[in-house]
Order: sequence, then structure tokens, then C-alpha cells
Amino acid sequence: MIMAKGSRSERWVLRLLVLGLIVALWEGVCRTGLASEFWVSRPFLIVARLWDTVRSGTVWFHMGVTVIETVSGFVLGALAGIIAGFALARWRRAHVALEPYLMGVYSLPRVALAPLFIMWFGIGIPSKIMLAISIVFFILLINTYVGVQNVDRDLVNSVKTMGATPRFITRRVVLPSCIPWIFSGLRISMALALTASVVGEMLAAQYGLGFLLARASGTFDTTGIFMVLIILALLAIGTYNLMARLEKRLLHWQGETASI
Amino acid sequence: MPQKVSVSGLSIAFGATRALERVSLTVNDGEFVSIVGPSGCGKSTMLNVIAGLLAPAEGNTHVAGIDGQGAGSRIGYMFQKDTLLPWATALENVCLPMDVKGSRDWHKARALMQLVDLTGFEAHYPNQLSGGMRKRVQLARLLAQDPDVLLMDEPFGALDAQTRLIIQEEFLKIWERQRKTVLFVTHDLQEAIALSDRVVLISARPGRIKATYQVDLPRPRHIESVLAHPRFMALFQEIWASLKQEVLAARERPA
Repeated sequence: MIMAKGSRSERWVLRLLVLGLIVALWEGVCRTGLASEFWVSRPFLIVARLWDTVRSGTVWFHMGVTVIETVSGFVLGALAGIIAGFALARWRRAHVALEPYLMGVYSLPRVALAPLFIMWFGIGIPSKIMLAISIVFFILLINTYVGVQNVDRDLVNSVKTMGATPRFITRRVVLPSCIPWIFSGLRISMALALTASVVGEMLAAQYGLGFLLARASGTFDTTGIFMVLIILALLAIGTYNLMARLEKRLLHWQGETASI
Repeated sequence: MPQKVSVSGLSIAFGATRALERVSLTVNDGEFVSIVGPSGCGKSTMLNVIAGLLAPAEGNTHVAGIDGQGAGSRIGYMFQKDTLLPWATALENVCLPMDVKGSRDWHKARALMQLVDLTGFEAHYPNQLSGGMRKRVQLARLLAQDPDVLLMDEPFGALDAQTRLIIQEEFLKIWERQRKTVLFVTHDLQEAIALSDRVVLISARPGRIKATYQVDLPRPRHIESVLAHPRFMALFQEIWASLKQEVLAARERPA
């Protein structure tokens, strides 16, 4: 049986109810002294702080830095990864020669490269972009490669019997059939690019949301930490929905895709 | 009558398995020939060789006067599996063979959609169409290619029995109007007899031509009346007696 999804307004009422419940519980636990404000902060304090930073404009600056790092790392890493994936699928020799090394780097927890990148590229934006690239690149490389390998041979053969050139087959069969694979890579990569930027900023930076997080933690400013976490969550949801919308547009022939 | 397809001394092996052995066959211009035989006898393999997708170990093929593997766009191939591009609409799929040649003719594509009775479904994607409708789009696409020879590998095999009867009827009607040369592989002996001018029986592996039967039923045919025709029943019994032996022989052999 299929559950009715309910109307749009009904869904939002339910969701706001959950939010209200959490906020009330959190606020209540602090007010009654069950938990210390010092460790867990309090919703009203967080919202007040958020309001202050939004009004003073500092949050936009730090958010901007993080967004620039994330988006640059995502775009550059994805482009390079997709191109490398196609190249690897095209030249079997290259794949045979490089596979163990690629898998080696792919299996390495890439944030462990952060200290090296900070040494090489400094504590500014470039080191964070590099870190994001190092993660995004491999995901797209592997997804694109697997996508090409999984092209339906029967589709290729049927177009081949029409007398199509390899170029035509690549453009009209191989590329479109890789798009779902590339997209699933992009969706994961977006979140990981944000993670890379924030981790990089926490390690060494002068700006960015990760930097704010590290500074708040260093001064035992729980409210500050929660404020940044909320901004990060909103940012992540925003980018995820953006990707889901883009995917729906480009993959409309596939039917429905999940979105938050 | 001019020969459209000729296969001579064709042998194919996959490793140690001999799939086809010295098969020779000619199909005349405008003739509809069906190939029947037990599973794994190399029927589909033969079509793949004629289409140029596989190279034979021995023997050679001629299609429309062109030697061996070069016949390319002279051949229209319809697979059992759905080979519509899922990311293209029905109409775009029909246009595909024209795109390959570099001249898209929307008018012709629409006319073909009408021919297969799918007017109004031009903008639908394959996953929005039923199995029978997808098959009709493939038929329209095959005709859009306007090939000299149609190779069909169990094209209606995946359809449910009712849809299959309807599509067979429609296909028969279109074919009797256009009279293209057809080489048609099927498991379904009724289908083979009802549609063809000639039925070729291939033996269990290694596949050889065991017998050829001329189907002397009058045309134009209608599926329902053909199935009740006394000549049809006689042919069915005769071919089935021989085919059954091969099916049983194929069962006893390890795959």
C-alpha cells in the first residue's frame, strides 16, 4: 500500500512541530538547570547571536570565504575528475598502469593531506581549494569511469548497426548514459567539498566558517559553535537541494529523484 | 530474383564451443525468412555476424551486394531487448537513424509514428510507454532507417501474449505493404510460420541447417485466419516434429 504524502502545508506543520518540540526541550532543560548553559548553550542565545552576526555582516564574509573554497574545489575537482574518468575509460593501458595508485590515493583519508597542502599553499584560500579538489577529483574519476564501463552494450550495438561513427556513439549514447553516474558522484562530492573546506579552515586559516568554529571552540564559546553549525547545516541543505533540482532537470527522463 | 542476403560456409566458435558450422543461406529480395531452432543453436550469433557485429571464424556474408562487414547502414537490426535511448523522446528515437545519416526529417518521423499508431506520444520518454508501445517505436525507428534488409532477433519475444498478437498483426500489415527483405529469428514456431515465406530450421549445437520449409500460405495474411488455416496446421506439425527432436537433443547436452 502507498502512504498518502499529505498536502504541502500539512507536511510543513508537522516539520515545524518537531522543530518547536526540540527548541522547547532544549530551552527547558537549560532553564530548569538540568543542563549547563556553558556546555550546551540555549536556542534563544544562539538565535540572538546569529541575528547579531548577520546584522553586523561578519557572518557573510566568513560564509563567502567558505563558499568560494567549496565551490571552486567542487567545480575544478569535478571537471578534472570527469575528464580523467573518460580518458581512463578510453585508454585501457593508462587504466591498467594507474589503477593501483589511484586506488591507493582514493583509499587514503584525504583530509590527512591537509597539513601538506597548508604547508605548500599557505593558510589562505588555495590550500582549502586543493583539499576539496583532492576529494572531489577521485569520486568523479571513479564514478565516470564506472559509468562508461556500464554503458548498455546492446544500445551501443543497435546504434552501431545504424552505421553510426564512434564519435556519434560517444555523443549520443555513452555521454548521456554516464550522466546518472556523474550526478551521483556530484551529489556526494558537494557535501564532501564543504567538509574539506571547513576542516582545512579549522586547521589553519584566518577566515571562513571553519575558522569561526575553531575560534569559538578555543574560547569555550558554545553558543558560537552552535551558531556556525546551524549556518553550515543550512548551507549544506541549500546546496543539496540545488543539486537535486539540477539533477531532476537533466535526468527528467528517469522519473523521480529524492530530495529533502 | 536477386539475392539480398547470402551467407556461405559460415562457422563460428566461442572458445571450445562450436556455435555454428558451415551454414549457407540465401535470402531473396523482398523475401521474409524465419530461423527457428533450440536455444543456444547460434541463431542470434548468425544475425550478429550478418550485421557485422561479430567476425566469423570461417565463411563470408554478402548483404545487398556488399561484402562481409561493410554493409552497415543497409541493415536494420531489431533486438529482443529494448534498445530505445531512455534519455530521448519517442520522436527523437525515431529520428536517430536519420541523425546518424546527418539529415533529420521531422515530417517523416511523425508520419512513421502515425504508421505505428502512436500519434500523440511523440514527446513521451520510453519509461512512460508500455512494452508494446516501446516495441512500436522501435519498429518506427527501424523503418526510419529505411534499410535494405531487416534483421530481427526475437523482436516480439518479451511481449505478453496478447500484445504480441497485436504487434505481429500490425507488423505483418506494414511489411506486406513495404516488402523489405527480412531475416527473422524466433523461438515461436507459430510466429515463424504465420509471418514468413520460408522457415529455416537450425539443429542443436553445433548449429547446422537441418531443413528448410516453404510457407505457401496466401498473402495478404491475417494472423487469426492464418492460425486456423489447414495448411498452417500441417506445416506446424511437420516442422514441430523435427524441431522437437533438436530441442530435446539440446536439453541433453551440457550448456
